[in-house]
Amino acid sequence: MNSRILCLVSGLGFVSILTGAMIVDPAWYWYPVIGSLFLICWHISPNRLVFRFLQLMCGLVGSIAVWALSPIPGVLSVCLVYVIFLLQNTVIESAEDGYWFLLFAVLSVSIAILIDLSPHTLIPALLVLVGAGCLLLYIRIAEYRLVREFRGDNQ
Amino acid sequence: MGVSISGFLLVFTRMLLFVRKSRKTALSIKVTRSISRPVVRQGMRLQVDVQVDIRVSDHISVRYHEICPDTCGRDPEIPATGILSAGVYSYKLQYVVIPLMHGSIQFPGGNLIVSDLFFEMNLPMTGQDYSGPVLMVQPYPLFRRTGPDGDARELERVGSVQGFGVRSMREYLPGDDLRYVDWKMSAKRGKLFIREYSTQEEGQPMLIVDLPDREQPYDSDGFLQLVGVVCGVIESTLAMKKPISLLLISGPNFPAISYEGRDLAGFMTVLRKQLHPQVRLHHLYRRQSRLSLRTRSRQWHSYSVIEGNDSEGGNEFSFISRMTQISGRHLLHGGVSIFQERMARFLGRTRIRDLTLYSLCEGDVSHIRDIAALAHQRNIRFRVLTPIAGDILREDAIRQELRGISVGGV
Repeated sequence: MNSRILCLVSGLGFVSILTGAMIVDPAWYWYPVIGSLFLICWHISPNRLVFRFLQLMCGLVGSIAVWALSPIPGVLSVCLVYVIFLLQNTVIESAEDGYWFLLFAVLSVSIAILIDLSPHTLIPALLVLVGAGCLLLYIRIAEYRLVREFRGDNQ
Repeated sequence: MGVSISGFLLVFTRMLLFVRKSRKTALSIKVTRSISRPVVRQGMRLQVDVQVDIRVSDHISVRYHEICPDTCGRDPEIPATGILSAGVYSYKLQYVVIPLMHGSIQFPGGNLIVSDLFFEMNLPMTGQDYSGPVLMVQPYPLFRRTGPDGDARELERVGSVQGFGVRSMREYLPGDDLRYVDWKMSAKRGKLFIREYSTQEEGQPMLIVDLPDREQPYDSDGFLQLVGVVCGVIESTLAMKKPISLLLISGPNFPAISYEGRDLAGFMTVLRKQLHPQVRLHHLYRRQSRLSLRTRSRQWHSYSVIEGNDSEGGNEFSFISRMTQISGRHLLHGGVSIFQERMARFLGRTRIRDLTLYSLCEGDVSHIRDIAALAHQRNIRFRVLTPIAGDILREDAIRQELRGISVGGV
């Protein structure tokens, strides 16, 4: 699919989620403000990277607001905001990039479902902390191994 | 929480992707480095050509730049490719280096800077496939003469110092230098024959280089000057078709590097590889020389006689008698260091006419005194040469003392 069309579809999806949240939420007046800011930044963003980032931030604020209502639509909206950002920066182009993003989206939604199902807050938070530590360690090791592979054994 | 986890997951997946792409790009790099000459003199300009072939993966940009060897000067601009995005590239880099130190210098390789929208990584490409070649840098000679030259007379025997006249012929043995094969006689007899040259009567000059301690601060400029002078002396002596003998020591440590003869290439190899500061494992500063022991013993004895304390049993007397006993025992059973023994053996091996020691004279100089004593015993002309440095002359009493007695400036 053309990345431009995918971007538009994702944008429509995100706006739809915001609209849905506006109908349900008693503090409905925040959503038009966030949505408008998001759309204004999107309109300007093709020219400057800083507006793309601003658009990402606006999208994330909207997602956090949606998360307060229901976690799963919140995480879905986050994925949509990210896919828009990555497509705008031509980071997702090949099929491989798409698979990686799909993996990320599935992981995010799964974690959101788990958090939603869990009656406690502390246990998922601890699990997330441990998981984050392990991932950071993995990243550091992968980086070190890469550097060692090309640096040679003499150093 | 869910939003932040999503953000973290996004960063993680991008990082994994970045590492994969960086590795793929780094594996595709092929660096071919060539130098105009494998052996150069210290201080000469040398052109280096580098061919870099690279295939850059999607969504990352890379930049490759060369790392100049530490002991070389180079142009202020770092030789590097431009910022390359996805595609296949073949770059040719050219730069000039100036070796500042003698020795074998290996080109360390380069650095690959990989970046994408989120991350940047500096990948040192210094492994075996990306480093090399080895540049051999000969020291720059300062042409100074060691002293007056004697006229060597050929002797009617074969010796370690090779003369010019052919003394005898013998059959070739494995390990003999093929340059000495007498092809005419070999053709006549159907076997390989080797020419044996007569030796020379006059002893050869000998240079001893006292290498500084690598683990202590030393005068590096002075050392470079010293290396240049040693190189110049060897070159000028060999240019006059005269043999020379070289011994490298580091304080009282024998790195067991000695070389003699007329082979300039061999000397240059030794200078290039070995004429560097060494680690000193042994020191002589705790050891009393026989001379000082004897002097001190005599002083103690005279003190006890003058004071008339021979028969009294005070603390002072017991101290003096104890010290006299200890020094007497040392004089009887010891007093000769391993360094002195080895040096004596070395000096006794060949007939030496001149002995010139090149040293920075920093720190303990007991070993120089030992060599001077041995040279005096064997009637060898001995000189110590140190680099000229006015400031050190005022500060360093030992150096001043050495200069005052027997030392000339380099």
